[in-house]
Amino acid sequence: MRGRRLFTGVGVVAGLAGLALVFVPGLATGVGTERAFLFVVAAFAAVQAVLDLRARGRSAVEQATTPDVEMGVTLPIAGADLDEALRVAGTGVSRYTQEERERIRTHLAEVAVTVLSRRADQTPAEAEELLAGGTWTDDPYAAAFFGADVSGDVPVGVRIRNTLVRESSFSRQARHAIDELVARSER
Amino acid sequence: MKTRATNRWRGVTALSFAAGALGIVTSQPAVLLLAVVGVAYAAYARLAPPPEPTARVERTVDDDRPDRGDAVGVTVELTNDGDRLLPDLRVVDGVPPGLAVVDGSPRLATALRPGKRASFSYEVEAIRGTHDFEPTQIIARGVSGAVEHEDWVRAETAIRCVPRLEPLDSFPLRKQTVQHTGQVTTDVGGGGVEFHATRRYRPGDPIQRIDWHRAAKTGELTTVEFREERAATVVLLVDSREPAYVADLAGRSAVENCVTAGGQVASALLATGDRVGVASLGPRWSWLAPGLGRVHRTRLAEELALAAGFAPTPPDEQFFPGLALRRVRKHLPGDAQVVLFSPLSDAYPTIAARRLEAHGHLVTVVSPDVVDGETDGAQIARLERDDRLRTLRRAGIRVLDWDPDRPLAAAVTDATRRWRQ
Amino acid sequence: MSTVDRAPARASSVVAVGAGVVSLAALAVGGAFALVPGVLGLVLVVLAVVGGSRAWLTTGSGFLLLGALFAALASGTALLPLLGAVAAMVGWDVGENGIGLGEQLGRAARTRHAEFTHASASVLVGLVTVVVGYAVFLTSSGGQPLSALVLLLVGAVVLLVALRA
Repeated sequence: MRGRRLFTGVGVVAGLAGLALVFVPGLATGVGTERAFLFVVAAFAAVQAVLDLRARGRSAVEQATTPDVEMGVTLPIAGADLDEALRVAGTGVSRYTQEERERIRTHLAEVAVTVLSRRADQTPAEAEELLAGGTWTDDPYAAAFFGADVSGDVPVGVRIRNTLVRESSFSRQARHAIDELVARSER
Repeated sequence: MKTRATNRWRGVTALSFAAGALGIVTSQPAVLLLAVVGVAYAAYARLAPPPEPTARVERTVDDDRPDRGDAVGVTVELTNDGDRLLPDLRVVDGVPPGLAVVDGSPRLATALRPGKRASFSYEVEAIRGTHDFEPTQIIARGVSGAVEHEDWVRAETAIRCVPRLEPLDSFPLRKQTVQHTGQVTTDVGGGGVEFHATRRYRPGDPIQRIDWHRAAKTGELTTVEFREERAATVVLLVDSREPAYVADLAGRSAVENCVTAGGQVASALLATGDRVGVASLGPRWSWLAPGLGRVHRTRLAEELALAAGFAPTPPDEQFFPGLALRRVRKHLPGDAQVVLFSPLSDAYPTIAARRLEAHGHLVTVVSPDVVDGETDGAQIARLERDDRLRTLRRAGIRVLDWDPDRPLAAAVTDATRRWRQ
Repeated sequence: MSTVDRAPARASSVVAVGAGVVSLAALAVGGAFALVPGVLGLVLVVLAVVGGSRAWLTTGSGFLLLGALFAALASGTALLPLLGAVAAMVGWDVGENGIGLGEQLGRAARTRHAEFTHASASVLVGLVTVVVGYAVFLTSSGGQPLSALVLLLVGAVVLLVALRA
């Protein structure tokens, strides 16, 4: 708003000055040689140019938004929510990551109990014990996912390699646990 | 109607000031001259006339009662009803939510002289249900683009798609001990269809039932008795809660599969003289009491196609499990069997099925398997669903695990064979 | 269909790049001094219409305008730098309109008519500016001091605008 009024003011002055110079040619020579005066005007113009550019930089172009009308019904895929939860919990350093990981562990523990108690013909209580002890599987990562202490079972070389890969230990353990459960349910 | 300044020309005067400053400092007249460019476009931005909201919209649909899967052509015609040029008119048509555009574009940008028309066409794919078009979004700009008007214009149009009930030869029901004629066979003789035995004629027996061949041969009057076929009362219950709205990798919806299968089962059962009704197990309630006959069949097809309870889009409303089950039980006739259609994507349908069974309604579950792919989530979902199937079977409930890539009839045949054993 | 393609409208993008090329060609009269910002500007304009970025488009056009100023400074001629500046403005106007159309209507829509109308108006303003501007320049070498005429012209237009608003 201020810029526009300034511009208008400048324009009025410019117009009057132009008229003056046209009708009183003598002034032109006088004005032309006054370097200081000219520099003041030029500085003024330069500052205004910078102000105008900054005003542009600050205001975004505004226009109407249009919705995606071409889309039909998009429904989620079965299991997509767990995939997304695993992805987020795998990378995350957010405050909620620990809660998310616990939630996923609890969910998968329920699945594990049903798989084990069905396949190995055990009661849910026995299955939970197996999970806690890590004795339900040979895979150390899968066992570790449910909290069993099997740190001794992984060779050092593999552990070094693990730190170089860009996968968090949570993701690795989850992946192994899921693969083990699926394999067990198909047997 | 909304008017906004786009601010796209903001700062163009900077060119003029820069040219002025540089031209003065360097005493170079050619540089000074360039100031007019900034002024010219700044003036253009301000002086160009703003747009007028004078566009009229008319929409026509080439088939407002299509079959499922048909491509329906939509043509939109715009007219400039004003007396000024509309130099920059942008239109986005209100395609009904749930319908996908399969050809062309529902959008256009054009310029319209006064009285002139412009039209554009596109195609949508028809899906089950009633689809109302939403208002058309019209965005009009002045020729310099400095000012924008936004408005929504109504053009009432609707598409209705009611698919016929697909055929199915037969659907086996569970044995029940009730007294009407229909499909469930028992060993009590009475009026019915399947031959059972003959006995001596009793005064009052219907004349059509007299065995005239024997009478002609031996002179005895005997009555033919048929095995009484009992009519079942069946309610088809479709799981329409939010977790049931899942799709396979090809985008096919589990609820669509359930509704189509429901229509097929209804078709089979109505043909054998059973009374069939439909209900929705979800936050959007729908109920059609069991009945018979051609009129009822039509009403059933319409209910499945159009009722909110079976809508193709997932619900926003909250679901109250206890309330919903109580409502279903309140409406269910005491002797009704239930066929529950659900993808079993969470635990609730198993609970509902077992509760209904415990309250005396024999339950059969038809479950389309839409778990697709080999991601971690899909594998776990498959495990969980298998476990639910097992839980239901262990509770004595019949389960038809159906792969939607195969026809339902094939799955029914296989399952019937298994259930007979 | 995963989502609607909202890339900038094709015709406008082509015109914007074309105008940038015209501008760069006109700047050549100023030699390397003008061509350095000019080439940078054109490159930014091309990247802008491909990527749909308004910021890059404005910056690119800005560099082309700077090149026009330098061209007028270096060569002392008026016509070609004037043409270069006007072409840069037209390129920016049409290019930004194309980006906006892409965002609102998407690539699949028919937008040619609106693009053409908008571009025509922009070109018309530019042509009038070139004609009037060059006429003023020629007149000044005849008698009146240029500064006077420019100031007069600027004042007249601005008064017009102020009165209108």
